[in-house]
Amino acid sequence: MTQYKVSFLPHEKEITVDEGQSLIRAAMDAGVHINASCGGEGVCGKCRVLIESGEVDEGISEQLSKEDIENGYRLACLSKVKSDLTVRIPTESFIDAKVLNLQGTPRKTARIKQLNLEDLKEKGLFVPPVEKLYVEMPAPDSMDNEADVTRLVGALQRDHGEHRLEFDLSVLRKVPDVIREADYKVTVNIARPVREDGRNRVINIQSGDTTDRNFAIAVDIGTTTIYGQVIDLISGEVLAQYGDFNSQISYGEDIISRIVHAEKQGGLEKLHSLAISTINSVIAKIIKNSGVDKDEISTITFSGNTTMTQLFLSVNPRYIRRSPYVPAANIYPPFKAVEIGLDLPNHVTALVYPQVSSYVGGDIVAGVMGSGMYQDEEVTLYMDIGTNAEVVIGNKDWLVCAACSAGPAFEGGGIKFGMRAAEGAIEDFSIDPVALEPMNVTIGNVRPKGICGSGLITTVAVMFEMGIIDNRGKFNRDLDTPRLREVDGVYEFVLAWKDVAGADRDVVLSEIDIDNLIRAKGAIYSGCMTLLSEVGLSVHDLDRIIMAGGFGSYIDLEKTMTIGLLPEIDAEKVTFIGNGSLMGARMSALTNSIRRDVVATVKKMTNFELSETKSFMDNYVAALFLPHTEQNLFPALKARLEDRQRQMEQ
Amino acid sequence: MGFEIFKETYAGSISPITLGKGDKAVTVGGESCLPLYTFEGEMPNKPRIAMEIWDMEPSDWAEPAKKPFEDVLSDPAAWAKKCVEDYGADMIVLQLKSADPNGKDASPDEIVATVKKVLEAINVPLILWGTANNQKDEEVLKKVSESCEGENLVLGPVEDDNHKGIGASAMGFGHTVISSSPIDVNLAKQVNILLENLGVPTDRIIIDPTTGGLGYGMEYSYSVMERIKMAALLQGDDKLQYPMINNLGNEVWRCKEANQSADEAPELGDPERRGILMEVAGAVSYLMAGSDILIMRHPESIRMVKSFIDLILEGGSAEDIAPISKQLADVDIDFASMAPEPDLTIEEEKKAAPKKAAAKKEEKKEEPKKAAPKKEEKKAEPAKEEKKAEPKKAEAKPAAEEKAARPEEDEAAKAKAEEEKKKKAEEEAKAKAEQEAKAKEEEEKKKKQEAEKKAKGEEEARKKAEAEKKAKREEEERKLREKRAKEREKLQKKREAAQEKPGTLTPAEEQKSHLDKIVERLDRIHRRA
Repeated sequence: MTQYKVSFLPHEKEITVDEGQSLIRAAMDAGVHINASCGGEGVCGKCRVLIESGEVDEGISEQLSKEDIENGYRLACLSKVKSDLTVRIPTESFIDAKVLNLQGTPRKTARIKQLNLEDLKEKGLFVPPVEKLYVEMPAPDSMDNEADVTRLVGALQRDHGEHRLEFDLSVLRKVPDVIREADYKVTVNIARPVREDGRNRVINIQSGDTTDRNFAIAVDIGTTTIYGQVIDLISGEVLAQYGDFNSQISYGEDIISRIVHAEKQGGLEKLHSLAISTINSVIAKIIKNSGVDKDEISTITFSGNTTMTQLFLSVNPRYIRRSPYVPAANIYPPFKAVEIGLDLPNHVTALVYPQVSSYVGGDIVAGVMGSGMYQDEEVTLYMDIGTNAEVVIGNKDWLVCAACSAGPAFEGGGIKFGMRAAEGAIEDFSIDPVALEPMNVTIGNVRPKGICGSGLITTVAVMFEMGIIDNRGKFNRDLDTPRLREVDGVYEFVLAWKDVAGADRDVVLSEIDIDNLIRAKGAIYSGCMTLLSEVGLSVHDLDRIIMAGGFGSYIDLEKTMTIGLLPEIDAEKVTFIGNGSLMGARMSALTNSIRRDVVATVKKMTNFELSETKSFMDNYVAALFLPHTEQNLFPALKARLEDRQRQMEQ
Repeated sequence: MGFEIFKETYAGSISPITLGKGDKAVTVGGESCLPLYTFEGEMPNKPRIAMEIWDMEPSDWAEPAKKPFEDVLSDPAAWAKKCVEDYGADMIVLQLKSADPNGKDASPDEIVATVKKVLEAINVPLILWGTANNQKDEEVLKKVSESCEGENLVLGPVEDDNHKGIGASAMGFGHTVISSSPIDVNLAKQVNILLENLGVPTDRIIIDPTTGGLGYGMEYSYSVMERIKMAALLQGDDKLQYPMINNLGNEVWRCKEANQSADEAPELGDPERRGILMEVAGAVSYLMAGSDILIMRHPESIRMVKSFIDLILEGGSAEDIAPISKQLADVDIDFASMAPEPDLTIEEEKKAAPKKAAAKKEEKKEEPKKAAPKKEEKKAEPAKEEKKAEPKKAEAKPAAEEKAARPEEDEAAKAKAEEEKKKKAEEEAKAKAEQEAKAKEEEEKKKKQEAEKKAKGEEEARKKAEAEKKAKREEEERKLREKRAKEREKLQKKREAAQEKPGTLTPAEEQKSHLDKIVERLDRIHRRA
């Protein structure tokens, strides 16, 4: 795609963007503030900019007068970059040039880590769990009247050097008819043993050569959402992916209320069947979208937290929420998918990720396996931020983990206008420190309806740096703007007035929202610090951070450090893997080496119950501050704030 | 070579803070060592005591606390003056109790008037302590701050919710603030950061860690103060390098024990001495935890704590310190009558405590011990229909169980229980004898006599055994003394030898890497072999 350079004046900041990128996003990424409250729909008319040189598409609206348009004014949110540009931001509110440059820093996003199959093959780690082999054998006659199965085994031995084969009875039943129909040319599915000394199980037989069509399904059973993928076991590609709300939600949003329901008469059966029906609908959808035949699926893998796993397998989760918080099992045996009611062919084997403890489940193990941190030398901090947050620290030699009770703030829970990353969610934010006019950028460039996790982090971080909120997350009461107001004893800041909002009222950020965010980030940060101190390490010993979770790779790393969610660390060391649980499930569908290593890894993961770890409470209270009570842990931010202070005083 | 104390090196010091103005200004803080550790660093300013007065006549003060000030309780200015002139107070704390919105709810202007009167009456530094109602404190202290510009008052408590209002005002009008937080080192630090961010100069902040009274959470305050001092001095945390203040008098004197009269709690002794000593004990503890300013109430407590400070920092003899001089009439409490009856058997048995003897004794004692319950059973049987017998039996059983559970403490209990059992047995027998038919009477009497005989026999046997034991024990003690003397001699020789040839330490052959240490530790937590 063609790229163009956009220069912003008077900021003298420059950024290279793809053709067709909206000007407002280009400005945001460059760290340039433009007043904009309507999210980019073009209704507020505040993002008027002057195109001094170059060309843009669109950008014209009835908000601009004829004269304006003739003079070269456009609305930044509607303008699409079409050539190299010089854009002047009119300083409607008088902003000193010094202050201008203090406004923002260019976005630092995390690198996205992708699964690399070639790399795996090179390392010898690609051991498909189910293989398809094609054989041709001679038809029996009076001289050669061996049994059908013996004939098949002989051919497999001769052509492929297969040993230690065993047949499922269901396959055996099919053999006589299938081999005759196929004129003694068949493809067999062989499930490889997890341990090298195990047996190879023949799980299916098909007529003709179907070796180029071998597929698997990976499923992440989340408390809120269930995701599924169809994977081509030959190319490693994902053919289809789909996620749907876990229909257990009607029995409570968090795991504790699900367990409570499961304890009621018939509750466990109900929740089990709801999980199965959601999974079946996801499977149906992805099979349809991928154009694969259901019969071509060889295996299915699952990962989920401990409670979701137990509910899914119909194992009573009652003891998970009772001290001393013991899960039913760490490791579950492989089983036939049809056994628990999954709508898949009889030959499909299901595999479930093992659990570490009641609150560090298979989803985290999957992340550890999928991200590959379990076999790396580097000391890695892995954090999965979802409906709750879990952290793992370690490398190939040791692993420690803990569940932090962070709550769902990053998914919009407990936030007045919180929402998931969907259309209309404010995902990026900036504010003019003098006029206090915000710049809201929303998903889909429509009027703001609410604020998503990454938007919340950015908004609070920006307001903190601009001195609009203090270290405790309280608004500066002295600010002279109608946007700051007290409603029912709670202070709130209006991000978008009703007339430009996608909701029927003003979209606001309240002190309670900020407080919930601080508690959530405090729980995660202090969880990390507690684990680090338990192994005698410090933040400086971390070689890298891997973030997993649903809140999008769009998150600005510097902002996560400003609020003290992540420790201050070189942005290059941070990678993002998206849904770590699904990634792990996919990996174990692709290669047996993961299945082989996972047991040893789970045994290696030392779980710390934070509530019973002495130093946790101290760390937690210290983290309930922006960015942290120990401000020297955030030297870059400290320097920025001092710099700002100095310049404001001049 | 003489004994040398290991000396800690410190990474920071407490910033010295000057309170008040003029000749009588007081400087606190400035220490570069842990509290009272003058052998490791400097403590240029002694901890100080601020005398507490109220801005309204206290209605619920304990009599001993009221007595010294009874003529001035209704006049804060006269009260303050008395503290300074009669009791030599270094500082005065005016507790703004009348401002409490749940009480008198005095207006800021009324408070200002009182403060001005007190200021006129004294020349020592004045600390103003609010009601701990954030909003009201902010209102009142801002007004006071404004009207007393340049006096360098000390205003508190300032919490995170009102830090901005009071902090800014104090900064503008030249006062010092007390940064207050609820018993947590991180929260203390957070309020200080907020004040610093506001621009309050670092020589104008004092920390109030929240003070617990003696027996009412003092240990929590104590350990938080320790942590604050450690962070400030050993880790060099500049956000905590401020002097600390403890509002002690108010906490001690309002607790139940300080207010109970001699009639209500005779076992706690003279209420006057009791209150004073509780205040002193609290003060001394807080001094050791690192208090720089103590707010105290009773002149006698203050005199004693001051002398403690002088003694510990300058040396001297505590014998020269006068005892508490009472102002209230002496109370007459007959402690002897409250004391539980001394149990002489216990004393006797205790003497026989050495282990070897105890073991032997146990063997010997076993017989009579077995005999006792047997006897009881025998007698209890015919009496089964009587209601009395059953509970007694039940009592005996747990006692026996207890014995089994605690073999060491057993000696005394055993003897006692045995005596009791014997008594019980006798009583039972008597009761039975009376109630039984005449025909049985004689038989019963026989039994009783038999029992008595048996008991006598046992008693004699026991005495004999004891005499034997005593002799044995003395012999053993003598042997032990000899053995110890020999051991000491040996050790002495060994030490002398060691001194000549100081042993060298060699590093372990295999040095553990950091990784090994982590894995080892995790293995232990994980219970992997």
